[in-house]
Amino acid sequence: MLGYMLFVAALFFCAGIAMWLCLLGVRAAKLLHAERRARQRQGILAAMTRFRMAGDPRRLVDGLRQAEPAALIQIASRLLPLFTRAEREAFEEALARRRVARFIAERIARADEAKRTLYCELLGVLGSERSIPTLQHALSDRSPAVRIAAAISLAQRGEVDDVRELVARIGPAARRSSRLTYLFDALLAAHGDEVRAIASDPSIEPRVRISAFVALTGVSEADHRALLPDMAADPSPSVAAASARLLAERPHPDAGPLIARLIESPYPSVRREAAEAASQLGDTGLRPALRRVLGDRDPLVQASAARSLVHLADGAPAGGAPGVARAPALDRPIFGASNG
Amino acid sequence: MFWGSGDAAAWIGLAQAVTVIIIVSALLQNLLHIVQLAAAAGAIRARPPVVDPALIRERYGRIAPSISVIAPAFNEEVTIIASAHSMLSLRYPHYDVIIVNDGSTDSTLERLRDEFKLVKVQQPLALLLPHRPARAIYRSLVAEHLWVIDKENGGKADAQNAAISLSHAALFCVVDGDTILEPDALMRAVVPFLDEPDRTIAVGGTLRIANGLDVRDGRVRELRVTDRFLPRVQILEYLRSFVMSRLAWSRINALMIISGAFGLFRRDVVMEIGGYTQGSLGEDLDIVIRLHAHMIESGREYRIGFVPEPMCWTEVPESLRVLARQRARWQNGALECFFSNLKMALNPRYGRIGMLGFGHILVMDIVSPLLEVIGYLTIPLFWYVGLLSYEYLIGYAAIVFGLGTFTSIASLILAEFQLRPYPHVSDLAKLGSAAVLENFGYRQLHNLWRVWGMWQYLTAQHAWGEMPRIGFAGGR
Repeated sequence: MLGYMLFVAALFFCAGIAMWLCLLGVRAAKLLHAERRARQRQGILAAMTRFRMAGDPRRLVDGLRQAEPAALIQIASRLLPLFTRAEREAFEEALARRRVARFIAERIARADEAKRTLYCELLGVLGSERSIPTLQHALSDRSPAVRIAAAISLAQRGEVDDVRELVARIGPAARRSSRLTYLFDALLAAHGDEVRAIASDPSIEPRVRISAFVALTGVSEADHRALLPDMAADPSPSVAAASARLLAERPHPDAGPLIARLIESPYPSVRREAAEAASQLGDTGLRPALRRVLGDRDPLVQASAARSLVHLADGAPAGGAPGVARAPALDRPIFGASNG
Repeated sequence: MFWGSGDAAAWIGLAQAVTVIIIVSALLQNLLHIVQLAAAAGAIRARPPVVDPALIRERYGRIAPSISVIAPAFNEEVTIIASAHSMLSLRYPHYDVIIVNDGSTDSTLERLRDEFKLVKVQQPLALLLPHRPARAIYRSLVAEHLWVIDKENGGKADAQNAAISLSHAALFCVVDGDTILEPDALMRAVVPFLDEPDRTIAVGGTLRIANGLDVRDGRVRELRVTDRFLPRVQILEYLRSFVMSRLAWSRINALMIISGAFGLFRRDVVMEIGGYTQGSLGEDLDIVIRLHAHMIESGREYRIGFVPEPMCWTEVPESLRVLARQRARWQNGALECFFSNLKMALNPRYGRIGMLGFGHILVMDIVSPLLEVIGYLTIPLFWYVGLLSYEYLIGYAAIVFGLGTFTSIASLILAEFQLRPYPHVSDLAKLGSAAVLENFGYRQLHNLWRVWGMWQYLTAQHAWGEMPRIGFAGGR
C-alpha cells in the first residue's frame, strides 16, 4: 500500500515537472505565433497608412488580401470605431474577399465564449447577407453573452421582425442581463412602439422592462418625461425603484412629487431608493416626506432618509457626495431593485 | 527502546494508526486541490478572459453603474501616493475614490493633503453603519473624484464602514491602501453585476504580487518575478489561492472569501447586513460568510462571483517575521469567522455553503495544518525510535512534496491562460524552481505559523500587527 502511494506521489511529482517543461514549450510556441501575428498586423496597418496617404482603396484591399482572416478580425475588433467610411468600405471588401463571414461561420461553433461573442459582434457590423443565418443560429448558443451579442447584431442589421419573439429566443439567463438596454437601443429606430409596449407590459419580467425603459428614456427627452410617471406608478417594486434612480440622475419636471410618492411606497426597496434619490435631487420640498419615514419599520429606509435630510438641511454645502450620479446618466442599470 | 516488549505491538499499532490518519489527511487535502484545479480549468475553458479591455468598455461602458473605490489607510505613507494615483487613473466612466485615513500616526494624511491639495468639506458623516467618529472630510482641488475621510483609528472594517456611510454609489470596491489597481480593474469586475444585476451581490478579483515590479505613476510598467525567495513563493501561493481555489469555488457559487485587497460589493446588500464587523481580523472572509447567510436566510437568489483576470497588485512581506505575523493573523481571523458563524457549519439548511464551504475551511484551515505539523514531528520520531518502517516516512514525504509540486505547477499553467502572464521564460523558470523548493522548509514554517495563529485564537490574542512597507520600485 505504502509503496503504491509512494509510486503515485512520485508520478505526480514527475507529472508536475513534465507539465512545467510543457509550459515552457507552450510559451515558446506562443512567442513564435505572436511574432507572426504581429508581422501580419504590421502589414495591415502599413496598408492602411499607405491608403490614408494615397487615398486609393485598391491599395488597401490589395494590402489586406495578404492577411489571414484571424488577423483581420483582430484588427477589425480593435480599430473599427476609428475607421473612416472609406477605410471601412475597403475593409468590408477585404473581409468579403477573404471570406471572413465564412471563416467565422466555420469557426464559431468550436470557438470559446469570448471569441463567439466577438464574432457575433463583428458580423453585426461587417458581415454580409450570408452572416444572417450564423447570427440566427447563435441565438440558440449555450452562452447568454453570445445570444445577446447575436440579438444586438441582428437588430443593428435590421433583421428583426418580431421584438417579443427575439426577446423570448435569447432565453431567461440572457434576459437578466443589463445588456438588453443595448438591444432595445438598437431596436428603437425600427421598432420603437414594440419596445414601448414591452416596457409597459406587466406580464414581462421586470428586468426586461427596466432595460426597455432605460433605453427609451435614455434616447428621447419626450419619452423620459412621459414614461417616468408610468414607471414610478408601476406595480413591480423593481421597476418603481428603478424609476427613483432615473429621476435622481436626470432632471424631470415632476421629479419632486414622483419621489415623494415613491417614499410612501409599500415596498421597502422602493422607499429606500426614493430616500436616497431625494438627496441627489436636492429638492428641499422633499423634507416633510423624508421626515415621515424617519420612523420607518425598515432601518435602512430610516438611515437613508436621515442622511438625505442632512444633505437637504438649510446651509448644507453643495458639491454632492461620492457615488452621486452625474447627468446625463440615464442609461445606468438599476441595482437592488428586484429583491425587495 | 524505552518500553517493554509486551507493549511494543500496541505502540507500533498506535504509531501506525496516527501515521495513517496524517497520511489520509494529506491525501485528502491534495485530492481537494486536484478537484479544484479541474474545476478552475473548466471555468476558464467555459468563460475565457476577454483579452482586449477596449471590447469590455465597448460592451458595458455605457451601462456601467457608479462605483465608490474605498481604500482604508493606516500608516501607509510609503505607498499611499502611488496607490492613490493608480486609483485615480482607472478607466471607468463613473467612480469616486474614498481614502480613509484610519488614525494614522505617520504622515499619510499630510502626504495626501500636499499631493492632492485637499480642502475640508463642512459635511457631517452620517452614521449609516457603525464606525469611529470622523475628524474631517476632505475633497481634492486637483482630483475631482477624490474624497478623504480622516477618522479616529478603529481598524480596517471600521474604516470601510465609514466610507460606505459616505458613499451614494450603487456599488463599492474595497481595496487596500497599498494596492496598485489595473487600469481596467473596475470595468472587468463590474461585468458580472451587469450580466446578472439582480442576483450578483459581490465579485472578487485576482490579486498579484507587486514586490520587485517597476511601478510608475500608479501603473505596473514591467512584469517580472522578484529575485527574493519569500515573495516568489508567495506568488505561487497567491496563484494557487486565486487562480485555482477561488475560481473553482465561484463556479459552484460557494466562494467563501473575497480578498480585502480587491472586492466589489452591492452597497445596499452590505448595508442590510450592517456592514463590516468592527474589529474583525478576517473581515474579508467574515463579510462574505455573512452575505451568504443573509441571502440564504431571506430566501433570495444570489451570486457571489469571481473574475480570474488580475485586478490589482499588492506588496507582500519580505521578512519571515512579518510574514509569520501576517499568516498567524489570517489563521486567527479564519478561526474567528468559522466559530462566530458556527451555526452554518455542516448545516444542510445552508446548502453548499454550510456543507462544502465550511467543510473546506474545517479540513483545509483547521484540521490539515494541525495534522501536517503533527506529522512533521511524529512520523520522523516514530521512524527514529523504530515504531515505523522507513516506507511510511518516505510515503508521507512523497505525498506532501510530490502532490504539492504538482498543484503549484498546474496553477502556473492555469495562470498562463489569464491575462498578463509573466513575459520572460526566465520568470517561469524561477517560479518552477520555487514550486519545488517551497516544499523544503517554507511549507513546514507556513504550517507552524498557522498553528501559531490557532494558538493566538485560543488565547484570545487579537492584534493586526504592522507590516512595514518597502514602497514600489520605479518611483511614485
